Amino acid sequence: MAERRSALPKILIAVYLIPVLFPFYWMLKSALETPADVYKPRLWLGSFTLENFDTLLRTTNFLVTASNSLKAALISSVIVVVCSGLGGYALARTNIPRKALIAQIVLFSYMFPEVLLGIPFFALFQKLGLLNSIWGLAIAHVTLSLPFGLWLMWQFYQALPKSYEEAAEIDGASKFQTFLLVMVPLSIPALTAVFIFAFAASWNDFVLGLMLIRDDQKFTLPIAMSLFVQQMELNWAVIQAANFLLALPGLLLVLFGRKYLVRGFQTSGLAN
Amino acid sequence: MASVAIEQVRKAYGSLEVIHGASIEINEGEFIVLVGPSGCGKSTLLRMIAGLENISGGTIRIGSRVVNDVPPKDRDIAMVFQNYALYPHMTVRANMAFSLRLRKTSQQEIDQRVERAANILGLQPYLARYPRELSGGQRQRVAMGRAIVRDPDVFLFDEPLSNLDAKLRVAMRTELKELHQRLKTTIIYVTHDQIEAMTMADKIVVMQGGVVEQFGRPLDVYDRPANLFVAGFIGSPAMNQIKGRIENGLFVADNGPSFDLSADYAKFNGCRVVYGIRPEDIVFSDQGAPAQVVVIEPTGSETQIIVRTGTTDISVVCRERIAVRPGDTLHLRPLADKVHLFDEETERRL
Repeated sequence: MAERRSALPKILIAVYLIPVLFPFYWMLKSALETPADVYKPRLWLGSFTLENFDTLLRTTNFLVTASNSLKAALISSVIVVVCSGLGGYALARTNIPRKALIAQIVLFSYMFPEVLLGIPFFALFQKLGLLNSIWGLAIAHVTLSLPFGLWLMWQFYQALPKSYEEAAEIDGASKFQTFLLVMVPLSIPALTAVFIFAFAASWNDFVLGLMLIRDDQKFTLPIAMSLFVQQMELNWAVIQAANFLLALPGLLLVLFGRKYLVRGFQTSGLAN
Repeated sequence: MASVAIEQVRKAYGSLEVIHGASIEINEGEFIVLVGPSGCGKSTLLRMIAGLENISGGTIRIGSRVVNDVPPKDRDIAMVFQNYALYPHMTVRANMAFSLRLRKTSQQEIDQRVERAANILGLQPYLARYPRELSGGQRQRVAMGRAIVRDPDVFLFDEPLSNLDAKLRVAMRTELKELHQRLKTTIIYVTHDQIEAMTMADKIVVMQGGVVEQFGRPLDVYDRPANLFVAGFIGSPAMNQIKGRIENGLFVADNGPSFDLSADYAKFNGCRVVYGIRPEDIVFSDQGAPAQVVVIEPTGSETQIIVRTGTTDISVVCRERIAVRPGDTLHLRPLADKVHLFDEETERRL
């Protein structure tokens, strides 16, 4: 009876994972099959080839757009991590008047759909000369994850005992030394969680990229992907190879940063 | 080491005053314990001495220097926190060396000081470990080591033993006292545990509601509590307190027996008082007042017996083993020269 009870959650998880993992499996299977085999209704791999990846990398500007996506994601993630860390610490530990209201307003900005954010960005960036620029896109991407990052870091620092800072203060550290030498190392799990979240938000963004980038040499991957469908004349094997490569960084980040993500969310009170 | 003088120190959060003019004079090398119930202001007072809380009024001197507006790092103090506050991302060695590195001390001197502190506290085998790899007692020692390496004028301890189990707490109490005898540095130590206060301190400061109720040597405070609060707080089991009046040289309880008083108290004839007698200052005697045994609590080394006389429960502690059962009758005779009398209205000692 006890064994049956302990097996039940595992069975439920396995059942749940089938619809979740199947699209990934189908994507990988299609990417590794010849284009002819993709259309055959078969559950298992019919043939094995890396030709689709070769075609993708040779005949499309995949690498250029991937590099654009990577640049935008890295720049925006670093900005989000720095601003969330400093901002969250300031909100948690300084006597800013109405700081709870400030934090709520910041989180409120998270509620705007991307399209609504894109229009003022377009007008503003046009005047600033940031339109059609990876830096401009990265700055726009910051708005996708900074509110959440700031909120998470605020909660994280609130949960940390003040005695660490007080001990550092008595030890002779300045405010900045305390932040840099004590608080930042203590907040690595939460900062990693923020980084992963910001990276994924920027890497997957379609709307802002479409509105703010015009030059096809500066397109990011999601936009380029939408063009591959026409460019590849519905060659689903190659498109699925591109899909797989698009999903890969996110998968790797979550895979290797999982423990930081969980620890970061836990210490910020966002998960139990 | 340095003396510390706290003169009429006040602390207020807005209109709420939590420390009401505390004054304490601490001599060089003394071990002072601030003791009191939760919320009495002892930790706040310690944090004010550390510079972690602003002072709303009064003066704090360390040595001859007024430190009211001196930042914590310039007060030449070291503090051990209740949760130790060891930096989790640093090894024991790095934790101990942190303050010295910030002060740009030479590597050679850092190594010497860390080694010396590690030797004193038996931390040599753990220098390369991280705090999470240490037991509670070892973390406690590292926290002390971090304070020792700085060679400060004053050590401040904020309930450092409260996270340890009972056995380790007793062991660390002895270690701390031994450490003080060795270093001879001024120590100000906060605890809510009156046993800790009595066993470790040169002098204790009993606080309640932001007020210093009494300041003195532990046995003086025990033998001559200044008021009812101190009488009840210091001592375990607590002092028996019985309300009544003085009549013809006797104490007459409101709902119970009458007890002898020494001749010194004759001048208070007719006064309403609270009669205090410690449980160990009551003996059994055939001429004593009869009382019924309610509860017997043997601890091995002594036996605590709760007896009832009239409607008053009285706690008695006897060293010898005694064969009584609940419901038996004993005759109590409090030792007249050990009686404490307090004014019922002011609660001050008479």
